[in-house]
Amino acid sequence: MTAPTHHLPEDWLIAYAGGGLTEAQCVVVATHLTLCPACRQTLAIAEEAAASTLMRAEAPLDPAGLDALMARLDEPEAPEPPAPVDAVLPWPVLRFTGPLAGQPWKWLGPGVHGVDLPQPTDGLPLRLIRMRAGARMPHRHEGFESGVVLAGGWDDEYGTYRRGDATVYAPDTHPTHDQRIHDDADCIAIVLNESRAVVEGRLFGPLARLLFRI
Amino acid sequence: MTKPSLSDLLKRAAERDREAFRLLYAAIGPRVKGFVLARCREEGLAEEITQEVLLTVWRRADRYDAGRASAETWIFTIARNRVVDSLRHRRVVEADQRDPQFVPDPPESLDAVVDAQKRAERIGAALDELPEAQREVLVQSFYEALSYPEIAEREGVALGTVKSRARLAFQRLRAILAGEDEP
Ligand SMILES: [Zn+2]
Repeated sequence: MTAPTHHLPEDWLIAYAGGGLTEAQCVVVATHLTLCPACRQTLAIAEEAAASTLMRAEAPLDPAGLDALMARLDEPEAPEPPAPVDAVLPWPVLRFTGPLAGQPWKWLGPGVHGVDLPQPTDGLPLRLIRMRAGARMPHRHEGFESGVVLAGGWDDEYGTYRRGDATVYAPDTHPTHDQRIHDDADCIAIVLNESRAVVEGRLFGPLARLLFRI
Repeated sequence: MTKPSLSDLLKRAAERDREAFRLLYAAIGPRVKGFVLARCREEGLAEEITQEVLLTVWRRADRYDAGRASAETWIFTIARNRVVDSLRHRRVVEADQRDPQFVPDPPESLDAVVDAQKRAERIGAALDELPEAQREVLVQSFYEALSYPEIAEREGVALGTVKSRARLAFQRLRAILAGEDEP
């Protein structure tokens, strides 16, 4: 397989390095990082910079702390849960969804099915999307839409996207999205739509939902 | 005799050398706590989280890869994850080399093995050379885990300005690193 050609913006990797992203954003970032050696290189630089910025000041340790810690070194560790395996989904997605086969796909619109990921801590709408081979799905972005292609791919006005490619679409720079799914296979992607929560409460919500059930 | 480096101490800790771990604790513990305290602002909790971080360092020492990150940075990522876990009650989701879907680094990057320790030192120096406004964005986004909208509000500038400052700062860091890589 070829390396991804669409990468995460550096400011996402910088924020990830400092621990400033939401859990849902971390899923998108960690999924792309699993599939993209180039962005792992960039992250390595950001983490070195974060470490050298953040671990400068010293705070005195509790003098009793070392003995307490040494006494715990042999404590048995809780066993790690067995590693899940899936032919398509990387761990950052898989640990929230379970295997791809047997997902409870919901119909979202012509040619599109989705499964919401449980996101107990941020409540951001993170979703696994399946788009039918050959489908054409023009829509507009009312807010940030980010994601990673996991299988298949598409063409749109911004380029060609395949497995591993990251998409970060901002409403000001990417207002339209004329998505044309490749003909050879269904497309699977993880998508974070930060506008959905906002959109649904507003006047244009019902319209936007009618158009694409976002 | 020279002081053993953090990465030597980590290597020995991976071999279950408790004396090395004591030295490691003394060498890095105060800075781990300094970072944790800045994030949680509560002495007792900071001490507790620091202990958990160091315990994790002991347990995971065999996974440390000196070609990938400096020892300090590897320990920092453990501390960062633990802080997020404790203060925000969620886990940092990370790429994991043991994932069957993990795409390994291309072979050429293995030939040119970077000395992660040297790179870390150069990055530290490069940070000091950045223009003030650019460094400030990096420091605030790293240091206080502020989001870009929060930084924009605090600095009284547009969100786009904050993002482009962050990107410029980062490009500058890379350029400085690349320049120093040349013979
Ligand atoms: Zn990338």
